[in-house]
Amino acid sequence: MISLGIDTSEKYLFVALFEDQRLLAETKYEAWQRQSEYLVEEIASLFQKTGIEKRSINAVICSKGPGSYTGVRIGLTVAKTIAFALKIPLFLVSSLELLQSGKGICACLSNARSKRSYFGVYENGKCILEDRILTNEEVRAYLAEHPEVRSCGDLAYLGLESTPYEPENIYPLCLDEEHRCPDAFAAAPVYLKDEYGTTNLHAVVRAALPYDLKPIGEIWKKAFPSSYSDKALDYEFNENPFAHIYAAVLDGEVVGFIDFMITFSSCVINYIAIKDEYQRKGIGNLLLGQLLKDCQAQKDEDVEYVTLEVRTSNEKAIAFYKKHKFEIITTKKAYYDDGEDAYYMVRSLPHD
Amino acid sequence: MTRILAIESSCDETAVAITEDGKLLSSIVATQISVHEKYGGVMPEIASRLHSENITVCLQSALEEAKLTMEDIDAIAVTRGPGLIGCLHVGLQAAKTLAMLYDLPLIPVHHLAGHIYANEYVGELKFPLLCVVVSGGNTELVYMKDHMDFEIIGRTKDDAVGECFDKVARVLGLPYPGGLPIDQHAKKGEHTYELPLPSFKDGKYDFSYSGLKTAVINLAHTLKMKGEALRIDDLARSFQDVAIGMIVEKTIEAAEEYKVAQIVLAGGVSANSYLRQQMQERLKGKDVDLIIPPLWCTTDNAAMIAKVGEHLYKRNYFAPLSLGVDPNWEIDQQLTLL
Repeated sequence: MISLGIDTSEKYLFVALFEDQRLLAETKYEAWQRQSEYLVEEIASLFQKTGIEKRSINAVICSKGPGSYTGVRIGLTVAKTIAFALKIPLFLVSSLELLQSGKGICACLSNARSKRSYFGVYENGKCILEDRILTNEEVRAYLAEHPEVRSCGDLAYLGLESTPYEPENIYPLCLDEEHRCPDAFAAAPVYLKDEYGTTNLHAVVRAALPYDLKPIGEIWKKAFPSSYSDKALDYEFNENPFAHIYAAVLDGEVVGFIDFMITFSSCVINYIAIKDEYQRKGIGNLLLGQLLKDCQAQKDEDVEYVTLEVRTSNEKAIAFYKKHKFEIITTKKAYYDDGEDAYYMVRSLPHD
Repeated sequence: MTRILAIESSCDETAVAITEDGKLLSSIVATQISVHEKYGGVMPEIASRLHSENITVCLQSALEEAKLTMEDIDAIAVTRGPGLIGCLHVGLQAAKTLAMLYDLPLIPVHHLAGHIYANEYVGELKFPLLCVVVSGGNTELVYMKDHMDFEIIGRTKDDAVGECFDKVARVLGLPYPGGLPIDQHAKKGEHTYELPLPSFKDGKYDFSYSGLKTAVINLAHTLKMKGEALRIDDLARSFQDVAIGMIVEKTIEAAEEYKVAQIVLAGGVSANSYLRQQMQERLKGKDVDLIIPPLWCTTDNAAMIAKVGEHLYKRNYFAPLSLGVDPNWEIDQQLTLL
């Protein structure tokens, strides 16, 4: 069986041809931000060099991230297109798993920028701790607590010794059912983080996507049972042109959301809710931080104040807003359908 | 017989089309508009993600609809720019991969040349020709002496007209993209609001839209502060009269100066009914042809890329596999790559 291996998820351009477990030929060099130009050409010359007929290969194996967004997409797009055209299976490997070096337990690391690392732990090809984002401090703490674990990757950014980049040793071990992509058409990179959220916690805030509708609906229903309806949710998601909806995501699970509107100089918080078990962990701060960021990013007009209504009995929420410099301006009598009053709270936004 | 498979991914549509000697066999467009309308504009990172998820599905559907396999294809045409860089990468990688696997020529196509040549699906281009390229990313007057010979004689100094429509739509509380809703509201309104017309010292065929955009935002804001109702229909009409009027005036003037045989409209804003109607009216009795593209060609698609691909195929204009994208590629550079 002949397989083609591709990795462009970080600074390297790597392509190789394998016959079963044996490496036939490889090309590997640093090509940061030039992979788009060189990758396909390098694949072509690899075929030429080995004399292997390009349309006769039996499998493609490629890294799926985490790593450089563009880099991962370039490699994966080429791999998907080959798998589609030749109707051959596609195997996907974590970019961290690819960094394993030597025997024993490997903490595979790469630079996620903003003092954070992509982090996953592997032992002889088995995943022990799934890929995630940690702060570099957390990484150092983990390594200190686990002296038996070897850290692997290009680690100059942590001030640690780097291990060699040798995907040619890992790919042949990954041509198994576990790594086989069940639907190559749907293959998508693993991003782990989103640049729309900045956080030093593990949770990531990102713009809500259509497939977040269901989990957000569930959180909403639990937090605001009287205001929830499928129609209201659908309106916010699909019709309200001013709605900004963000999801807080922890290890792939939506744990909270915020829904607000920016109209001219003001911003209104419609809903903010976090799953019970994830409250008081700073996720609300992250969501509110996203709101402030969006307000400040408005180009057409300065957003001057943020407003909201909250049930007068909701002490937890009121305390949260007060902590974030909201003030009670007035009480709206019988604001809610069940007759309860609402506090109208406002905070102003500073502008440079 | 020549069969061309074309790929377009410069902005928010992933598209693949196949032509056979000029005849369109299939044209697949996976639009992302429903995702981007939430933001009132295209989010580049999200757009790139969706392209990479959609691309092979689009390729498969295009081949199926044309009842062909990759072995039947003679050349691959692809949008190389201008556009969003992350988005362009996805289409280009797919195109280069197919060209490599099947030893096919790779044809780099300028996105706006595509919009211009989309008109070949409805009529024959006659030279010299003046093209009005108006879209979310572009506002340009392009003069063509002959096929594939593009000269930019005027362009926007700031915002593109389509971008201005989207922003104004947001201020008026209308959905994204803003072109159609503003057009619809304008039909019901009167030109009652005064909006400024920008003036230029140099570049008489240049455009400017940022002043107009700001004026609409300020007007809406002032009305709100005064507690006066904003008459959406009237404001849409007033805005459209100025925004489109500027295009019509300059086009007519340039057409006379350059003595063109034909005017063609291209790009998303050419779907605007007021622009279409004004151009027809102003050219009545004049010895200048007008081609208005079919509505399906005003949005991004790959059929138009295939059209340019056919012309370039005849010229053996083929790129090496080391071809890169160029998000700022100028249309007058279409033929100077190799």
